[in-house]
Amino acid sequence: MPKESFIIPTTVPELVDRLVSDAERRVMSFELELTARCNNNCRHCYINLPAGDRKAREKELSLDEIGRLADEAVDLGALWCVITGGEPLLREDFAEAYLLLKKKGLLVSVFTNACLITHEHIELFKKYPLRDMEVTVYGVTRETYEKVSRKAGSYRAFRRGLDLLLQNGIKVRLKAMALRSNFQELPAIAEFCRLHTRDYFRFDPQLHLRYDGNGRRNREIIAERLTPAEIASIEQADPERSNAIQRNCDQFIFPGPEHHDCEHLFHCGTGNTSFTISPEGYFRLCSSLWHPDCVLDLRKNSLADAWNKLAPRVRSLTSSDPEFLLKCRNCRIVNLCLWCPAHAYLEHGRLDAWCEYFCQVAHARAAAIEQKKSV
Amino acid sequence: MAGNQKTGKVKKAAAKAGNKGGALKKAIELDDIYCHSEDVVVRTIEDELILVPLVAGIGSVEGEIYALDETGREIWNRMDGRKTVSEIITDLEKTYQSSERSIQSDVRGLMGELATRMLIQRRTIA
Repeated sequence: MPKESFIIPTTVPELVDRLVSDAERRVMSFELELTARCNNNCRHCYINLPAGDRKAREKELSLDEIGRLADEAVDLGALWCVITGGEPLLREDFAEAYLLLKKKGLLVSVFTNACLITHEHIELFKKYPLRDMEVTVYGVTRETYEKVSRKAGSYRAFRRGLDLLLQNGIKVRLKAMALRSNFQELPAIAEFCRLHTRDYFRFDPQLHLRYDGNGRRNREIIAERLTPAEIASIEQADPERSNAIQRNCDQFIFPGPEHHDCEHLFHCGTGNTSFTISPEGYFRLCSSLWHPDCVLDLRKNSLADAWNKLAPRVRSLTSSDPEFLLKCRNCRIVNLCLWCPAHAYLEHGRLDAWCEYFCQVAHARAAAIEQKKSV
Repeated sequence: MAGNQKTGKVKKAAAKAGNKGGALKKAIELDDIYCHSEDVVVRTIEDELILVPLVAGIGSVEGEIYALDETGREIWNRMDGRKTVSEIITDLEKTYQSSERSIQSDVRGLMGELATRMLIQRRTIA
């Protein structure tokens, strides 16, 4: 009988490392968008619908449906579920959904704006701990926060909710979106986040377009995008981020020159260890991938079919578009680019469309890295 | 199973984890009966048995979940709330070639850790 028989405390990343080889696809986690509705009305948001949107609410997965999909996900090996939205706390049955997922043996994270946190949520999370909670910080003054959220009183609600979480020892990670409306406040937002969380803080300058293709809202998002030079500048001003970009730029999508001639669209890890379920029960390989050929209605199909049949088919998609092959597939700095097939589809309605803005951001980042190296 | 890549990784992880909590390990008596905590969800992923704590206070802060290797699984699966520790050891002796002392050491070691982390509960006989 072997001697080393004692239990091994482990984490999801460690387990993924042990169980998933590079060549394998295996479900380890999934995102569950409980609702597309939100109490805020953020300028840059790619999903939010009004909190009282009755049609959206009627289409949302029921608890029974969530339970069935969670069973299927667990059968496929899922260990971690990220509850997101919209604002997931808007669901009146949030606590039931959360507990249901926990009792299936899933570790559960929640992404929220924290505005709707109540004492009941705190009690729930204290008794049945989260894996973690990610809270987005849109601003650290009322003026900036509500310029982004476009909801009077939301800054106060956010601070109250965040304070409740922190005072009760709930594990919170903070993140920020970098956009035109909070650009001037980003240093203060970063300081606030680092002061209030022991875990990492990250900011994201990538504003992608809406899932519903709403033209008016998409124009608002484009107006909120920082210029490529601004993005490169704020990234370089943050040593943690600039080092991460430099470190990872050789590792992201483009492992080596052998892929320069490859016509495959997907070189990221989408659909290899995770997937996303929309509020209405649509399977996607990642949250942004909404091309109609890449989604499957889980109200009519099994999750196993989506994972085992659709996902490999999507991952094997290729392009013969000359512009894409010339500009993107042969690009030496593609690892610095915001481009991916999902975002290309949201921008131009094609998975293999070249996106000028993303290309400009990549070149600005590359120039900033080169400049840093030469100093 | 011995010698495959995944077993190697489990052993490596076990070695890395060491015997954390050993100093505080609960003493396991041979006449005691243990059952799995109701506050733990048991998952089998590939050939690993994974314990997922459901409520606060179960497990510890050092890991989110707990993996048991082949030996751990053999012991875990015999904790049915009816067998005494001594009966589990006797049962394992029929399967494994190791000495009674070695098996007893492993069983008490593992159960001590599980009990300390409240992943198992001692059953009180009325």
